[in-house]
Amino acid sequence: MITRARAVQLPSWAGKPVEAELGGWPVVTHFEAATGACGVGLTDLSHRPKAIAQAQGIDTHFALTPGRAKWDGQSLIACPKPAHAIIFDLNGAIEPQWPDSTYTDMTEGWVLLGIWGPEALGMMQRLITVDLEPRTFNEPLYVATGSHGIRVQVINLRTQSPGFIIACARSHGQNLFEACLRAGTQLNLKITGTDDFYGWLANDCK
Amino acid sequence: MAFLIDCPNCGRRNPYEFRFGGECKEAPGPDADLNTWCEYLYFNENMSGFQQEWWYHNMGCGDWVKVRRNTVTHEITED
Repeated sequence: MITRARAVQLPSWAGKPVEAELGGWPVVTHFEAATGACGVGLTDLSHRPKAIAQAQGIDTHFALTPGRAKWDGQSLIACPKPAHAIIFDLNGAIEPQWPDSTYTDMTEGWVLLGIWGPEALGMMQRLITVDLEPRTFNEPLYVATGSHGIRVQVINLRTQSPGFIIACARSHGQNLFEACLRAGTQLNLKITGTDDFYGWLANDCK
Repeated sequence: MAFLIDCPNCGRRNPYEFRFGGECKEAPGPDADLNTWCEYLYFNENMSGFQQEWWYHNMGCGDWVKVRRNTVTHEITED
């Protein structure tokens, strides 16, 4: 039974969404009659569990330093500053299952968008002024910064083809989503369902 | 504002990501009288030149950063 509201409203040109219910969330799995490759895929992943973990030594527990992130096959874990970690669970159980009280569940507090495809970096560079592709290291990168006056968190997954996760407060989710649509206008952006995103993730983020 | 602020967690960032937190001042002790607290809370040096300031990285890591800034030229220097 759907008990939660989707964080962003999709424009009509995205096509007719095919929805499934996951943990009470209406999730767009794919769009009817969607064809062809896209320059940038934009996928709403807001239903996925998210958390902030705050504890002394949690960054060393995850073997991360500020500004770095890692993919463990289930979650993206990032370190914004010492004693803090951000967790975006992309493959685990849909109901948040955090180990203890050092984790604060942010699933309903943040919007999470997946931005992927060959033109994803170009699109992100239109949204974010910070360098998202530093040459000094190759691991996934975490950046907390501002875009359109909204505080956003970005992870560059550093996959074979560019892929990013961007999150912001749910109250600004629609604004960020529309900013993404504008930034991707000339980059063949398509709004996709979770099937396409997870297909890309399985191929490119091993 | 044409300067950048070095955040110890996030690196060099645009000052518009930060919120100005005022001059760095020494807080009065617990036994200080009301006049001392009033001066601490409401009066500033407003100096022309370098001063130590607090900046809050509200768009980034959410930490307070101490910055030595020239109030005339916006030049940022190390301590």
